[in-house]
Amino acid sequence: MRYLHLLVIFIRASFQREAAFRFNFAINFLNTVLNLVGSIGGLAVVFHNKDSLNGWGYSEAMALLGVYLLMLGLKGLVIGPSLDSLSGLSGELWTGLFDFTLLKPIPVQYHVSFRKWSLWSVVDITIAAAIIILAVFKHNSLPSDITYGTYILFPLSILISLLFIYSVLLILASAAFWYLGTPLMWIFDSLIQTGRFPVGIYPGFFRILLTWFIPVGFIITVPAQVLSGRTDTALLAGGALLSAVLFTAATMFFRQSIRKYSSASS
Amino acid sequence: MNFRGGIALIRKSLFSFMASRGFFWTLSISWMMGPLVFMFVWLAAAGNGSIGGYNKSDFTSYYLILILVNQLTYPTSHWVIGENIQLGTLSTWLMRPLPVIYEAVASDMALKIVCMPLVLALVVLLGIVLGFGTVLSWTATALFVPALLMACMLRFLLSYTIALFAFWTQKIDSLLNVNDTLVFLLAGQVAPTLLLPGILRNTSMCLPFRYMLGFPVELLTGKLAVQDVVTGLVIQAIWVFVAFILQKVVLSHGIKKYTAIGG
Repeated sequence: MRYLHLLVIFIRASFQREAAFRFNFAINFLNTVLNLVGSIGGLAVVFHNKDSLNGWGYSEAMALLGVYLLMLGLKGLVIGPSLDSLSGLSGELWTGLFDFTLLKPIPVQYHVSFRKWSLWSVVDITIAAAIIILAVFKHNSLPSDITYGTYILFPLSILISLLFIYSVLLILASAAFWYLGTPLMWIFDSLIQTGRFPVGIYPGFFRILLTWFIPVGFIITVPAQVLSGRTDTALLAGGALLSAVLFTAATMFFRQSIRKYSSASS
Repeated sequence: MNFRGGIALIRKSLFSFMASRGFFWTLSISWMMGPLVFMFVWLAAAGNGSIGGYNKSDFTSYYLILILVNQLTYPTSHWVIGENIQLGTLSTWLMRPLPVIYEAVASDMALKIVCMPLVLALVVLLGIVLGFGTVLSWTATALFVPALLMACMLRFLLSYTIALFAFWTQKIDSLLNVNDTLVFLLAGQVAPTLLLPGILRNTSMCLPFRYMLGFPVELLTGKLAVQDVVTGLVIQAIWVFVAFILQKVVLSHGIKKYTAIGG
């Protein structure tokens, strides 16, 4: 109950902070539109030349793109900005403001993970959901695959993906304690780009890398597979297990890492 | 031309960039990812056949060269200029007995020197793993040099000009993002411009974006007929000229609007 109450406070504070810069809202809108044009345009160009990509049709690839945008939006809603304010550029690790965070009487990990909300992401998430719904129901090749199981399995797979994203980001944010001065969280941002397309298109070595080390495959391809009715139950169960293991490892690593912290003041 | 001043500025930026090369290397890896993703997409799409005259080996060489050309042509100084105008720190640049553009050119050159070793090593590694199959002809290589230089100038001048509009609007990031997205779509990153659907393809032939990136790559990989090469070089030269004039005009008008804040 106390945690929920804190959450409400975090959200309200973030909203107040964002509302102060209204001009930024307009810029965000432009960015969202451009992102969308770029993503759909890229997909359209590929499918202009080819009907299917590694067994994925246009509408299925569009659903995958929707999942990709949805995961980016969910990451940008709270986990991304919160951890970024810790280990990102001019984050608390650089400025030494982490002193104050450590002193607060709430669990550190909970605080650094949920304190900063970027409310514009709600728009991104809505657009992503719209793309998924359009891709699933408008195109002829898909609806027969949607069963009641999908309605349960899809949210489940999204939850697993979120746990993956959180764990990977927490590991990168913790690693910043050891390699100060390197924007490690950007590594996630650049590698997640590979998720725009099904992980199966990448050749052997990269596919293994993207499935097991930076689990882009689990995060984006698996939920998209659920949507197009080819759920791989074994993969889903494996993903659930792996994400739980990764989450535990990330939490332990974070606890180890904050011991490295040595403030910034003289 | 003040070469001594220019070289001093390059050295200044180079040393400060070298100190935080981990930062810039992370940055250049993220620039590689876009082209890399689309390389794999096209490799998967082509399979054992070919698309629009490109087979697997063509796509590999096209994108590996594109990664290098992208690194060499991508300027970063425009982000800094916009911010400097907004925060008033441009005053330092204005005080120097050198034109404003020197500072921007110097920091971009320094950045390229810092990032190139890493990118070159990664591209060579990828070339060995994936098999770089295109034989480069001497004439194409000779023509590639001016095309690459003009691409660098064009991409730099255009983003520099856009950044200068910060004199009027203060914050300019959104417009710079528009520029980046257009480059992403029309310059040959998503697909070689020859593979774009009809209307997009014709548009990309006239707009400056293809000549910042895709054109030199197509030229080097030998995908263009002699006539296309000549036309391309002429259009490229025209755009460089236009961008150069534009930059001068915008700067001379904008500078009058400049009000440094802070003390």
